Amino acid sequence: MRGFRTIVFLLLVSSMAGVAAENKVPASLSFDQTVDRVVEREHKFVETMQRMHPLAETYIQNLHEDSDRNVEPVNDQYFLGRVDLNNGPRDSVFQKHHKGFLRHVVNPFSAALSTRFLPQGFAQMVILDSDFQKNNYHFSFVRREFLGEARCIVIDVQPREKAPKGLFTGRIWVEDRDFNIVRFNGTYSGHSDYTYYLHFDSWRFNLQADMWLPSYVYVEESGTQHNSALYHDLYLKAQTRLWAYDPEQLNHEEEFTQIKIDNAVDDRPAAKDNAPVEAQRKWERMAEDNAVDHLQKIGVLAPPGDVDKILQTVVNNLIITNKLQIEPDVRCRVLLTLPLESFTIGHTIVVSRGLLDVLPDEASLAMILAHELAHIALGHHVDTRLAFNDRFFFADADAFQHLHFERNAADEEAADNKAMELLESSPYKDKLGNAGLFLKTLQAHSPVLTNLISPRLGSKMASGNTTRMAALFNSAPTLERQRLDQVAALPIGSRIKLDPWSNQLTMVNANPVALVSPREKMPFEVTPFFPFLSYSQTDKKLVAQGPANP
Amino acid sequence: MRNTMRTTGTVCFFVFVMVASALAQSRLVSGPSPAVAGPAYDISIGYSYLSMPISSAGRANLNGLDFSGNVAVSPRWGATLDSSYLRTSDVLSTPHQGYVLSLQTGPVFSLMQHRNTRVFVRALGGMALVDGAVPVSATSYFHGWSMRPSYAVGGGVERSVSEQLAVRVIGDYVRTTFYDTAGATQAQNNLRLTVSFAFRLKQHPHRYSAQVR
Repeated sequence: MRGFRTIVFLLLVSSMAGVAAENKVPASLSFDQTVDRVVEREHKFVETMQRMHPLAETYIQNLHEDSDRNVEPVNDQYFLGRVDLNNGPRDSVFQKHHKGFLRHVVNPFSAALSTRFLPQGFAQMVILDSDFQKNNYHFSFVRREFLGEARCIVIDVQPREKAPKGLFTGRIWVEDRDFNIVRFNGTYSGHSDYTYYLHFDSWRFNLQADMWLPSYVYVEESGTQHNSALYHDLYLKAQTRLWAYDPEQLNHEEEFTQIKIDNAVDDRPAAKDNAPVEAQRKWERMAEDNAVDHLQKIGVLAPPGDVDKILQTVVNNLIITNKLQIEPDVRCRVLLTLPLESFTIGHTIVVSRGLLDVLPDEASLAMILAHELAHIALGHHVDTRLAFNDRFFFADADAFQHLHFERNAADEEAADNKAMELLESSPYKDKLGNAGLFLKTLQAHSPVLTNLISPRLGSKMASGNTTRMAALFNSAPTLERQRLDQVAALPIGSRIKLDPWSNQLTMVNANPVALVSPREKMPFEVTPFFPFLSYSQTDKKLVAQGPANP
Repeated sequence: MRNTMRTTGTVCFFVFVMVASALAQSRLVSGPSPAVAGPAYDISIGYSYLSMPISSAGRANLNGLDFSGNVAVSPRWGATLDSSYLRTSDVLSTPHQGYVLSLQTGPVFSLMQHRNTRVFVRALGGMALVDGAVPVSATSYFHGWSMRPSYAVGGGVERSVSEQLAVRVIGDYVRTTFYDTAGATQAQNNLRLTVSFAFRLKQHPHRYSAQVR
């Protein structure tokens, strides 16, 4: 009997140990064991990433410091691509134009003789080391620290002297529940004369249960100092954002398997034929839906969500106060890319995430939406070629070449005039000063931030001496950079938060910050990331269900 | 001797062409993809020694300076513009002061790189001005100059001392033209050894562009 009790006791203990292991409650590990777990998790991470094909968007601002030590962007670069880490980082880059053959003939050495930013090099910064080996590095414990709700072990990592080139050197943050690296900050060692590695701060989010995936990378380099380790004049800030991880977003096969029709009944009052006008409207709506669906499918348009509702509220304010009758309904969607642009696809108003980020207030948003609403109200041309689905049979990366929603100058001017009418009758009519200031700031930066202000799908908002909504521009007060209370445009990333797995957008939940110097205004500028890390809902449930004291 | 030099030159040429094309297909530096790539410029100055055969008379030893400008346009490939001025106070014991002035350009290919050391080969073409003398007897000699196309094939080792500075040792087979005792032009198979310091030039942001593939 005693033997039976012992066996039962041992079985109970071993089953509890099994539960503890399954729920990943960390036992007290030595630092060496912790490093082993980190290395093991990182290998799993690399395997996971090789199956993932997110979109990666990199925006770079080259900087210059003037004699008064003011640092300002002098030019910019932008690329968007789908990441493929199977054979080293490779991107299929979305391009607006292919470089012509003539350009290569005229100056065949232009590429070879200029310094180039390489998209795959920025994508690389999501990987600490594709073959992370403990014996290649020195690890030293720094401290424990919270990043959001993730309690982290902070470890300094340096390549050993005899280790190969190209290893990560810097600091890693490891969440202490599953030992995933959630942040790493440093560079790769051993650049050559011809190539450079940059300093970066790479963040991963817990997007799915047991899955921390790269989401943000901030890059900063200021090699103008004479004692810089890198012998170059790279002086830049850059952001890389990754999204569209969810493979179900890319192929709609899942939707097919989920179709359920239970006792379908046609409860329409009576059979109804379409009048020619209705047929035309439906045809245009079909073209619109095709384009919107395609953009969402390839991951450049956010699925319908909370931010759309905010835009819809502003549009409804304009429609109601102006007593507009528009059929079919006007819808609002958000393009997930950074370049500042807004356009219409039929009756769908599309505003880019970058533009929403930098708009200073609701009246400025109303200005943007009023312009697009004016195109709709004036009945400007809808491209019905897109009603045929074969028009979308092209590679994702060629989307910007095949889809065009820009308007001609006459339509733009007419929309500007109509938009002014709409705004004059709206609740925003007395608050348009900042909108004009936004346009002034936009125009001031347009010669420098050409890639930020160049649209990929719509029409340009500012070029040369002209901007959209010139009447507002002319009536705006003088732009005074030194005035702290005059904030005409916000830094990039000020308003919109993107869920890299589902592409859902939400508003940034940050406390308002009082500026202490004009330097902190940073209109249209790249800033570092400091996200609040949290565990995915599934992982939270795991903890909640886990035994408190096994 | 002449045949030996010719053979050496031919072998060097084939080694350059064949090995370069074979190795170009592999990556020079393994590891993470860089975020920035661009031409690396440097200028170098150094001491150069040339062993020059004089037809039917022996070899003259010339010493002088070598200047070059180099650009690396990929991890393996680059180009160089090389100029050297080498002289001797007496060509084969004649009172004539001879010199060789050359200006050549051509591709440079990096065979391998390990830490701070790089091994490379190069093939150059250009012009050479040879001012020399040909002894015809114990007391008399012809002297004159010849400016003709010339080429060089060689290789070297570069060792980086710091981010800005490197030391290079280069050996070249150099083909020039001069006269023989009969006054006819005759190819010369020279050997050149150069030791130089290379100073790397900084890159500037205004040249940046995005490379999109």
